[in-house]
This record gives sequence, C-alpha cells and structure tokens, in this order.
Amino acid sequence: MSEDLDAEDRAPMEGWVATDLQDEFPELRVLAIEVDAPLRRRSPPAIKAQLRDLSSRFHGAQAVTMRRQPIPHAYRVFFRHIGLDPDTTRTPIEAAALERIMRGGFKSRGRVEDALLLALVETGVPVWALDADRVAGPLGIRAALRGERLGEGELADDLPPGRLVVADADNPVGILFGELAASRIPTKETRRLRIFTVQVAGVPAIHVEEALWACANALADRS
Amino acid sequence: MVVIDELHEHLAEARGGVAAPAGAPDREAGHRARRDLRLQVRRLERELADTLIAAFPRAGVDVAVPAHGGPRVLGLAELEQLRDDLAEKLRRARRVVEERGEEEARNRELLERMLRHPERYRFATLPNRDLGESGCGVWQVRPRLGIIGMLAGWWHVKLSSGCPLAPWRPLPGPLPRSIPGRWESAVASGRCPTLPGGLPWPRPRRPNAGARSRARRARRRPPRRSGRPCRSPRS
Repeated sequence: MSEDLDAEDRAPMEGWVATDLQDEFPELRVLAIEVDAPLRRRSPPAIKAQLRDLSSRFHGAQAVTMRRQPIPHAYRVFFRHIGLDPDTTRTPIEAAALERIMRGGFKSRGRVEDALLLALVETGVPVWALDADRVAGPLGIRAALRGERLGEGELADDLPPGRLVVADADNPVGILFGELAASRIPTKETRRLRIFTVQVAGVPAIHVEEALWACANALADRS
Repeated sequence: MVVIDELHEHLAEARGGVAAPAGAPDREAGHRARRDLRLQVRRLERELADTLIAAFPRAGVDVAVPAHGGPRVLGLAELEQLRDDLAEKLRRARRVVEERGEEEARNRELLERMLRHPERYRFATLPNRDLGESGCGVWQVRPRLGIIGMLAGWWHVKLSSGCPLAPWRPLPGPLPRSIPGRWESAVASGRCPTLPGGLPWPRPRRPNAGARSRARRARRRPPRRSGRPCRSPRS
C-alpha cells in the first residue's frame, strides 16, 4: 500500500515532442511513469477476475458504436492525421474490442500485458511498457532520421526517414502506435518498468493520467 | 450533404489562399491550411462514424478509406487527398443509407398491406433485415391449416424466428480417415465440406474410435466378486 501511495505522490513524467511536430499537433503529449516490475509474470486471480468482468461488460454493438465515443474517436482522427487507416491499423482500443469479440473474452497473457489491457479498456487510452533500465532519459516523439533503425543487432528494422517514432535520448524505442523495439520490451530480468502513453487532441488529461495509474495499480496489486 | 458542400467551398478558399500568386506558400500559410484540413478530416471522420452507426446493423455500408505508409506528418497534398477521399466515401455511404432507408420504408408499407390483406400476397416472404431490423425472422403469408386454408382462402401472416441452420452439402468424395493428418490436408485443399464461415466440419470419428480407451478402462475396473450379485434380488 505504501508503494501505491509513493507512486501516487509522483506526477507523471512529461515527455518531449519535436518542435516541428509540436507545431503540427500542439496537443500531442507523451507521459510516463516508472514502477517496479511485478515479481511474478502470471496475473493474480484478482486481475483475471477483473478481465472477466470487463469481458462481460463489453458487447459487439459497443465495438461498432465505439468510434463515436470521444476518446476512441480522438485516436481514430489522430490516426487519420498521421496517415494511418484506423480500419486497417486499428487504434489500440478498437483492436482490443475486436480481440474481445473474436476470442470471446479478454484472455490473460501475463501480468504486464494484462495491466496494460486493463488500463486501455477502462479508459480508452493506450499504454505501453518498456524496460526502464534500457531507456535513456525521457521519452519523446519525433520523426525518424535517415539511417535510423528500430532495435539493435541483425534483427533491427530500418526506419524510413520521417516515420514517427517514440524515442529516448539516444534511439527510437518504437514506432508511434506501432511495434516496440524488441530490445526495449520488458523481460524476466526487468526490474523497473517505464509505462508511457500518448495523448492526442480531444483526449482529456485526466483520462491519460488515469490510464497510467490504473496500469500502475494493476501492476502493484500483490493479491 | 450541406457539410460536404461547405467543405468544398472551404477547400476552394484554402487552395486560393495557399496558392498565392508569389508561388510557393509560405510556412505560416501552409501550416494554417494543414490545420484547416485536419479539422475537416476530424469532422468528416465523425460524420462517417455517424453514418456507419446509423446504418447498423445493415451490412455493406463501406466507410473504409485506405491509407498507405506508416505514421508520418502528412503534407498538404496528402491531407487534401485524404479529405477528398473521406468526403467522397461519406457521400457514397449516405447515398447507400438513404436508398436503403427508402427501400425499407417501402417494405414496411408492404408488410402493413400483407397484414391487412394476406390473401392478396399469397406465399409472400419478407425478411426482417429488409425492414432494417436485426435478427433472422421472416414474415410469411401462409394458409391456415395447410391445404384446407389454401382451398378455403384462409391466409395469415406468420413471423418465423431463429436463424436457419447451416445448409448440408454432399461430400465431394471419400474422405481420408485412416492416415493422420490427411483430414487437415483435405480441409486445406477444399476437399471436405466447410461451414459458412469457412470453418471445416468437425473431424469425423473413426468407426472404432474410443475402443482403445474403453479397453483400458475395462482393464482398470476391479473384477466383480464371483458368486455374489451386484444388486440384492428383490424377493
């Protein structure tokens, strides 16, 4: 409990957005918090029960009408603004809704993944987790530079220049609303997690912070 | 529709403003034009979503506007193209919804007439989905008491309920059942029947399926005590 209180005392860390992007999208923000990685990789029964509750509260018709709700709509619009088709590259909440319908429920896939999913479904705001020890400095959003790659080693993907990425002080850590670099995602050895989210125009700040704290609480819950 | 017209007017103004006589638009004008286009895209996306939801549960209202490439900052031309595509898709979707609405209104009138004078619409059928309603129900004009009603002119309208079962289709040929893995390959090659969703029928059981497990259970079962019946005979 004291851990929760400590976490709640801290405000989310505000990330940076490249100046040219800030001019185009003035309300684009990156927020992050750091929490201890969970000791066990499997979700406790309480988290699984919460996923089941969310599954039963979620219906097929909601998946269709979701695009008219303010927060999913805001992410859909932002997807359009950055050249993505939200009906092909689904927004995170719509992807979760589709998965719920296809699989018949939100399936538990691990402690961290479940915490991210809970935060996403409860608030509509997507959150991602990185290994905090492998991230240098605050996170931000910028366009990829020529010759940059996502990840390290032979399996790293080339990034076309101009591709919007989430980056730390050194390198891209993931494509914006896309895949994360394999070398930065949490593993068994991860001690600290950097949970981050992306706020776009039309999404109230309170929902963004709520998503971060919902995720942190799900990870801190030791029951 | 008015909104689209407004958008076209706005586009014309924006184009006029951007295409300044001096040549290339300056940074501020370009920025302003992109911001205006993003607002239009936001509005069109909202209206497209409204149209799709208004059409629900009807299928076939296409609202997809494909995009190419990954996340990036779109230039003026790309934003214009996106806005035009969205406007065109919205126009088409609205036309489809409008046409279907008219058709459904006609069908509802037809249903009223069928209910009022069933003898004029003998054996007519009207699915619920043609009325804009969900479910698999079908309104049918049928004779009461079968042939008697047909002869006597007793007609009435019935609403069937429930979705029909998947239609049975004959097997295209003998199914390979003996060799493991052949069923999967038969499914993959389309030689076995599939359900409407493309899913294969359940794998057929072998004639002697379960014989081995039955034999195993029989071996585990404790032997009966000889000379003593399982149940006490009633006298």
